[in-house]
Amino acid sequence: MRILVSMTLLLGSLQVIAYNDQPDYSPNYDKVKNERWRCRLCPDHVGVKGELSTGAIKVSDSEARFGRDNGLNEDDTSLALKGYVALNRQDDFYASITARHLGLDARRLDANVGKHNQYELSASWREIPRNTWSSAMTPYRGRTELTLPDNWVTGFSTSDLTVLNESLQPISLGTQRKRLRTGVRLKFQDYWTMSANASRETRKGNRLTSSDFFNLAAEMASPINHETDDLRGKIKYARDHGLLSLEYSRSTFKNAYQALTFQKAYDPFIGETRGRKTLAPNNEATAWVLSGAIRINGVAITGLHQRAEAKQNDSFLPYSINTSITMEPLPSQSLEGKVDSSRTLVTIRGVLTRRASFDIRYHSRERDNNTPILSLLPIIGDAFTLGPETSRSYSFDNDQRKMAFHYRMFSGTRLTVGLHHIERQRTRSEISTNEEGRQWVKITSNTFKGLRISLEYKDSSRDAATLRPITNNNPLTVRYHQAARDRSSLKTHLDYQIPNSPVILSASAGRSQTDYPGSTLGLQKNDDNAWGINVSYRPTETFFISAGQDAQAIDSETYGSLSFAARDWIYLTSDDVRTTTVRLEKNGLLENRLDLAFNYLYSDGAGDYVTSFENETSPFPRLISQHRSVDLKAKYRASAKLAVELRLYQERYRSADWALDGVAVNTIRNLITMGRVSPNYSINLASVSFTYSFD
Amino acid sequence: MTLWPVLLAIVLSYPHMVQGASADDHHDTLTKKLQTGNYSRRGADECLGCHDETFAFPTEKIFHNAHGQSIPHSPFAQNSDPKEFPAGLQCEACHGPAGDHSKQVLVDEAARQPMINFGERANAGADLQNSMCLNCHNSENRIHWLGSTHETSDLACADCHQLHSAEDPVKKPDSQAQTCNKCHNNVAADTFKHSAHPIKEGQLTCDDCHRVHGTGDDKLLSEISLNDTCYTCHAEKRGPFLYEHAPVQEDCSICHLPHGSNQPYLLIRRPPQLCQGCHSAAGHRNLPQLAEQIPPGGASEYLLAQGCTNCHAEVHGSNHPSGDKLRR
Repeated sequence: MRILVSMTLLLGSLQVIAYNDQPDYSPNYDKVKNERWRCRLCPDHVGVKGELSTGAIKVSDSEARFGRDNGLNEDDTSLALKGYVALNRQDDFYASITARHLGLDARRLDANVGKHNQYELSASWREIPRNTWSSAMTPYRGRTELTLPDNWVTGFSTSDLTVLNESLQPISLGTQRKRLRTGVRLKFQDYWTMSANASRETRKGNRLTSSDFFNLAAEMASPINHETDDLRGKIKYARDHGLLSLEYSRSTFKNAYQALTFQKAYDPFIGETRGRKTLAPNNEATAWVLSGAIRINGVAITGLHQRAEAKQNDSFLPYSINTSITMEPLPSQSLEGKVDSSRTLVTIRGVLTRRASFDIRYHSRERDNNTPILSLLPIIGDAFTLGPETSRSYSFDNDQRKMAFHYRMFSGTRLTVGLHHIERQRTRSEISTNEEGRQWVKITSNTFKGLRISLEYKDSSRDAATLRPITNNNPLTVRYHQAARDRSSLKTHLDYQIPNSPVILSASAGRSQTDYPGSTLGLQKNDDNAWGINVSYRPTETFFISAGQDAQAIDSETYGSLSFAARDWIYLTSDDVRTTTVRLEKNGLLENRLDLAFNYLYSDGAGDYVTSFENETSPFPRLISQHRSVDLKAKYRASAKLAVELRLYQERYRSADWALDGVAVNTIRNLITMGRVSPNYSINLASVSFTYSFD
Repeated sequence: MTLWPVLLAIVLSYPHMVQGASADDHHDTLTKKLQTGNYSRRGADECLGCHDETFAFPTEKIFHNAHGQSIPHSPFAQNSDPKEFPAGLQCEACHGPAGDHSKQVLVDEAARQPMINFGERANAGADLQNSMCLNCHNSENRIHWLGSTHETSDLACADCHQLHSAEDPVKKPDSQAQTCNKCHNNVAADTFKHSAHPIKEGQLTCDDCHRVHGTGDDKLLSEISLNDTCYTCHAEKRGPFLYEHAPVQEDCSICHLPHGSNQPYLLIRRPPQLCQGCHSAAGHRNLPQLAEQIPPGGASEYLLAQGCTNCHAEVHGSNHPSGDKLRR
């Protein structure tokens, strides 16, 4: 493959020598005489226009997954409120405000004012829900100090926890983000642009976590009260043939809660009646980016250099909250964590002839972790120590060199061949270096009228340095992100419009095969096969129908060794998802008063896991996630200004997960679960809204 | 390797198969028209006489957006300064000089001299179409356009952008994904999988993570790396931590699929099968997990609920002095 690509690159060079007829698409403005163009037929849209829509949304049942990202997780009636107002004036001043989903936890408001090509001020408010579980139960009370009921009875295993079931309370898991963003953009002296954005996002709620005391654990809710401030500023100088910009960004993350304390539900051994874990530490990151571009005689050169720094210096918690054990003093009161990173990117893109062009890219990234390495004496399960450990911080270098040659074989058809060399270096890792060579060939064509096709083949081979056995892993295992790897992939996409017909056929297919030839144990192979087909029919601007199906299958093979020697067990995993869509739109019915839209979607996900051990196969029950939805929308324009919108939506979700189903809070002897069950529901949604338009 | 003869055969025989049947067979005519530069005498008034609301493809909605308004540097700006062209050239700023296009052709409409068309009615290659857009839109956001994944796929600006509409759907959060999904149909399917980012709801738009006009990397990511892109929403995972988990810091996609997954938490596989792809030390890490260990046959803490993370919950890194095993 490498030889073939090299030969093509050589032939490409010859082509460059042979021709020198660069395409010239520069318009010739010499004969323009537009002083008297008046555009009397151009409509004038200055003034105020807008739309206000209000109504109600009714959901038939409560389910976190149904309202996971839209805030419709409760059996309730919600206000449907949205709209926009826009102002355009003759003097180039404009202003607009757009509101969406105001009655829901997913509300969004965007506003901006400005003068075209002079300045713009913008502001936005967003709320983003993430409802994850509504079927969870917990015996714990509290938020950052989780306690068990006063009558709690401890035991050696979950079956001994006699008041567990009577202590359970339902708990909803999820978060709500609220984000305020403001921005300003100024353009002055035609060449200079300055922009700045500032945002603050709060995220509150809880998430599923678990905590353990050596081999006894419990699922619980971890509180979330995060605040992230982002600031970005940029100044840019741009002329016809080049530009230069400097950007500064700063991101500060703050967590209102440093730790989660939890009561031990089991019998204590050495006085460990409580445990404590850290929550995400405060951190901050700053970056400077200098970028530029210049175009000279058909060659475009772009460059970018970024320097960034991330810091984290939260005070350490003690080794343990258990005061009945003896602890060594901490080597430091905080981490003084500091990561310096940099990135350099240079690309050269040249148009050589009308047919030939090339691009060369150098891309270097470095993560230099300058955090001090500490020697610590961890306490396991707030009870005992297994000996000293050193802290873990990792640095990486990643250098990439890429070259591609593009050749326009004839009008509308382009052949691209390329070479890509990647070198990665790591510190404190079993595999310190990887070198990878990638090569690819791609053909895109729209030469036939109505036909657009692309075909791409990629091939890569990654070498790995000799494994250094610096961990207690089986030395026959090479971690798959560091291991030697062979990968090949083929992708194709086709769009075909039947001549003199409003029918468009689309099809795509992709196959990617990855093997890890240097790994005796661990991940051995991963295959990803996908295809899709879609047919659409649009006989007029007001009628559209399409139907399609997509399928993807991801298969993997992992080897392990119980005997800590050669392979004696195998995991086979397979994820297979098929998605069917049907979409129909008919607008302009009833004398251009009624628009109808219908959407059907069925996503059928299946996961098959099999373990082979001692010549026997052990297949797990199938993992199922089936989403089926029918969505019908109608919009009736009663007058030029008033419209009524009706929506009927039904979503059915069926799922099965052997890790959750049939697992009660005390099913596992040493783990109190939250008793979550796979979501299974059928929920209807109806909404009606009235829209008033004005201008 | 068996594919190579097929590929070579396609490459070598393709020119002979397609001669004379070109989607952009007006290319030479249009290029020549650009170079000749015969612009109309009356500008848009000459165009709108035919291309009004009764025309098969109405053009009026362009006057609702910035391209059709008389604002500085726009096609409909009041400008006669050649240095500022194509600003002020109205319809011909994008569609090229009219030339003989507006001359009446009564018998054969197909014989009318072509203008540069875009989108589904495009009659020129993507490079010619895009050159018209880039005459104005050559700002920093597009400095990486040349050589980018989309440019080398011969994508035309109008394949994604709609100019003759009041509002470009690709710029609206509710409808952006529909535009991208025309080609990335597999990503659309991902959003309905068991776990997914909130893309189908419009809470996360494609351009929150991708700079589609080119960034210098193949995935068109908006930040310095994949991880830095993820940190824009997941800043709590940025660290640095006292105990880092090496693959987390190296690349989120070692364990996660960004658009959607058949497994929880966008994972490529679920624990413990995922974790045991790397971790094989003696003890519980090299135990094969069997179906017999799930109810009613058994109840393994390594397999059920959250698998490995039932104990090692802080997989993204821990700042606890006793968090060496990512448990605290």
